[in-house]
Amino acid sequence: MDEEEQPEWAVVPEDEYDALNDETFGGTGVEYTWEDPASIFQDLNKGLTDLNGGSNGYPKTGLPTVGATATPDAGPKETEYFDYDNDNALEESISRLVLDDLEDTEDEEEARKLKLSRLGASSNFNTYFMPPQVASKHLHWLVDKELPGGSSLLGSSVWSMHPTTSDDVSSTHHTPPAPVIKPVQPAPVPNIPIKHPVRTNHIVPNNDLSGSSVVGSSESSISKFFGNVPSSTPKNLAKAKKPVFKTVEEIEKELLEDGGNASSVPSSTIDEPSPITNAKPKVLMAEDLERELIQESPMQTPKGVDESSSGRTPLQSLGQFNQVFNADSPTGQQSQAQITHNQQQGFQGLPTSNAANFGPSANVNFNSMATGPQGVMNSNAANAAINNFLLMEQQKQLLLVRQGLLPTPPHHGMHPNMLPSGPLPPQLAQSFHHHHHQQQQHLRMLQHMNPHAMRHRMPMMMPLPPVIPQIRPHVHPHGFGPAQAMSSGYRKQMMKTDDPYRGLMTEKDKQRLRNIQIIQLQNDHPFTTDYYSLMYKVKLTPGSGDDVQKHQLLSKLYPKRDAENVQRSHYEPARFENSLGKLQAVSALAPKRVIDTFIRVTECRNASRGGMKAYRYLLLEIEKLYECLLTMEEADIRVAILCNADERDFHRRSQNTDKITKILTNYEKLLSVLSVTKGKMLICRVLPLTDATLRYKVIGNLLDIFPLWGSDDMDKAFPYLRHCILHAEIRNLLTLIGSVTDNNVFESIVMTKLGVSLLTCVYHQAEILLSRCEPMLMEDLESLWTRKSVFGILAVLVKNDEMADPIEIYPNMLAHIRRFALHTTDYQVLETILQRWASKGIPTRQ
Amino acid sequence: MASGGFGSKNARNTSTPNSTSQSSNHSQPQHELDPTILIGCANLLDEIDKRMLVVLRDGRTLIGILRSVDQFANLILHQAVERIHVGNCYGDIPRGVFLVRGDNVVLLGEIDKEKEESSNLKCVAVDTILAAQREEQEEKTIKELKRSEALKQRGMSYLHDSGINDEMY
Repeated sequence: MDEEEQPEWAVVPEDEYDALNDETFGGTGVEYTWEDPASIFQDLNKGLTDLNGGSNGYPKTGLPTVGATATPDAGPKETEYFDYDNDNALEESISRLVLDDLEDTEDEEEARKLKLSRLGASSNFNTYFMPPQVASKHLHWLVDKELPGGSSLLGSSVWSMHPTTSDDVSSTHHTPPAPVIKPVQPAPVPNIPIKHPVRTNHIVPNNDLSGSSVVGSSESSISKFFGNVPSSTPKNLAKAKKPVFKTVEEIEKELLEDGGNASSVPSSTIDEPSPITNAKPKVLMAEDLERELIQESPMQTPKGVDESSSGRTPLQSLGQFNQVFNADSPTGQQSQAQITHNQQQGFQGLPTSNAANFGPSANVNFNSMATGPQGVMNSNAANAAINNFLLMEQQKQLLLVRQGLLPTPPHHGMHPNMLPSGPLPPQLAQSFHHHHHQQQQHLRMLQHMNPHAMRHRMPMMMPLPPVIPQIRPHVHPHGFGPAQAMSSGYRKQMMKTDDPYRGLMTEKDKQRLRNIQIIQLQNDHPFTTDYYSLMYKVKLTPGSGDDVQKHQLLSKLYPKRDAENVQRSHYEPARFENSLGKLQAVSALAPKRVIDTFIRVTECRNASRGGMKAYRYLLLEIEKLYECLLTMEEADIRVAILCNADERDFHRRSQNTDKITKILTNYEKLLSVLSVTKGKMLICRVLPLTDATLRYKVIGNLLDIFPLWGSDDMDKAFPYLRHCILHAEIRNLLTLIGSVTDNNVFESIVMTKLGVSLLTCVYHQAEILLSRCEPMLMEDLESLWTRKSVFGILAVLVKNDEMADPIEIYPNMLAHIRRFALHTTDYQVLETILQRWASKGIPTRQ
Repeated sequence: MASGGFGSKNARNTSTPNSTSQSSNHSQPQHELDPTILIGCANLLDEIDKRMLVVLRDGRTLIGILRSVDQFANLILHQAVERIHVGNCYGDIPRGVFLVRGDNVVLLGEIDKEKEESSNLKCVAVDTILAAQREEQEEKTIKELKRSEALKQRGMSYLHDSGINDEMY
């Protein structure tokens, strides 16, 4: 088949199919410039006239054969055309798209029409538009077939169609059928059944001449435009109008406007009784509607409602309002539920509505619109309506508060605008107050509920209300609390304050902080860990010194340990296993640590070198020993006095005793500890807590090295040593005195206050013991004193007047000296000394 | 104790319960050991929603409304301004909301409005005070340099921080 003989509508064989060039739009697509449609269609009239005698196809080159831009020499015979294998290829392809149940139809024409009508071209679409490429491709449709409407196969064309008026309604332009989803709403045309306002982007035949470009006003125009047109070009093709280029947004706009205009046009052919769906929904706020209802009487019906129906009551209007109102919102559903709840008996006349719009919660029972009081409002109905509106508004506010869109409603409740203008009837006021009170209570409950309880109460999908900072007055510790808080004056003051951010830290947060501090304060060993605060409290406590108060004092120093306290001290925060990162549950018991550090004391083996280091280590060691000392003291007091010791105390006691023993038995260690003042006190304080044998041995050592540690500032150590000496036995005293290796030590002993006191105490105790001991021990003691020649030294010192004054005078000391004094003169001297001490005011121990 | 000559009330030291500092208020009546009342401890909860002056370790002075605290004495200051003092003048730089870490606080105290209003200090613009501060800093630097030079001549070494350590306290 020659190219010349092939019709232009022949389908290009697949081998020669060029997808890139998009034959659908005709031509190569490259040559065609979309920017010049106007110029192309300007001379369409002229082109259409050539259509009849023109070429059958659109030139391949895409150059128009007609129009000002057309090449003069371009003729159908001189241009290249698309090759089509099959004359009816396109028709067949289109027929595949539609139901092929008409294949048996003898009359192909009728079958084709029927198919097209089925495709939705039944609407009298008189307008269509097709880009030139499409038109060229489907020219035979345009030319040969009478198509009442529809579009081409290009259902997904980017071109948007705008229906325009056409002079010839029954235009039978040959546009190929299209998979029309929704027909485009045409211009207002009578007797057109308008179902839905639609948007579409499919191609619709456009017969409008007013468009910027038209396909063609006549056959001749089209033929001119498209070149050679088959002779079967229909006549009405000439009447094709220029297509109108419009964007989708513009069409939507026009449709909406048309829809509004259409709704105002009375039409008896409206199938659905509810005009609202066709009308633009009028959204009224509850306040506005209420204002209308209250101010206007009789009630006016909202726009768009069939006014032929009987006059409506407020609830009727309310029902109508709810139809208009967005029924999907929770407020709408709530309002409907409220209406149902508050609906009074005997009231009729609510408009019918689609029950599905109001949700399952509202069991709406509406009657027909026909009945109902007419004209003047029923007073009861009016009151009920007002009440309902007020309640509805409250519900709406509550929901908005829940959603966090509104702050907490003020204390006085309803907004002033919501209150009815006139005085409320008593019944209504009462019911209103009751409802208002209920809702306020509910809201308060919600506000004060913690989030966990709130979650259980509220539906899962509903968002939790915001955490509203509770404006509670700070409870003053001096008793200004609750009474002041509850007074109305205080509340007014709070409300009048110009600090809107007051109360950001809730009472709950504050209490949590207090709890943390309290927990940190409460400990099992306040004497050890919080000594100064404890002693301050003890000093504040009034006491006369009797045993009961002493016991109470000791109880404060060593509080009774509960099981909870024990658990609290060993509390560890919860650990989350298999979790990335360090998750820590923070609570008042275990608030997050700022710095996780602890002090480590490493044992320093080489204490001799590095004086500073060794000294620091020594100091640390003394601190550790002090802790041992305090623990031992606490355990003894708990056992002996308070009787609230437990196994842990005994265990700790034994552990600490071992540590102390190690120090005391190590001579070098003892010396090093005694080099520090705190160490001296430590040793003296710990001696009464140690074993008796070890104790007096250590005291003897102390006396032996008295010049090293004994000084005037150690007077405070005397009570501890005195305690040890006064509880000594004869053998202990013998051990004590026998430990002194150098007799000259006594000279240094008696020259210090502590030493003199210790010595006189020893004499005193010795005298007491001798009065009850066996005669054999007396001889041992006598020999010991003789060997040590204690009294001789004393005599010398007395003569030289270098003896220090003791801390206490012991009365038995003189008797003891009298027992063992070899010379009466020594005794007389000592007697003189004792009198001198007494005259100085030195107390005598009884 | 507060800087700037304000009449700050009772600039108490912040103290945690574990500290061994004595209470500054001995005039409180003696109570039983009620765990809800912390005797002997200054409590920041009493200063909530009050306008406070806070001195930081780097020497800055902040004034703001104390909105929230925690157990570490971290502070939330609302409507905070940084006040710069130079001589008899001061300038405020608005800073908004501040979260101050507790260990950076040197002291804080409540501001007495009456005393603040009756103070002799003069409020100037921010630019002015910043310029004045710059001048003051330059003068200080020059003075330090002269001092170190003088000491050097006398055979003594004087090391000036010159901003190595940002902390004044």
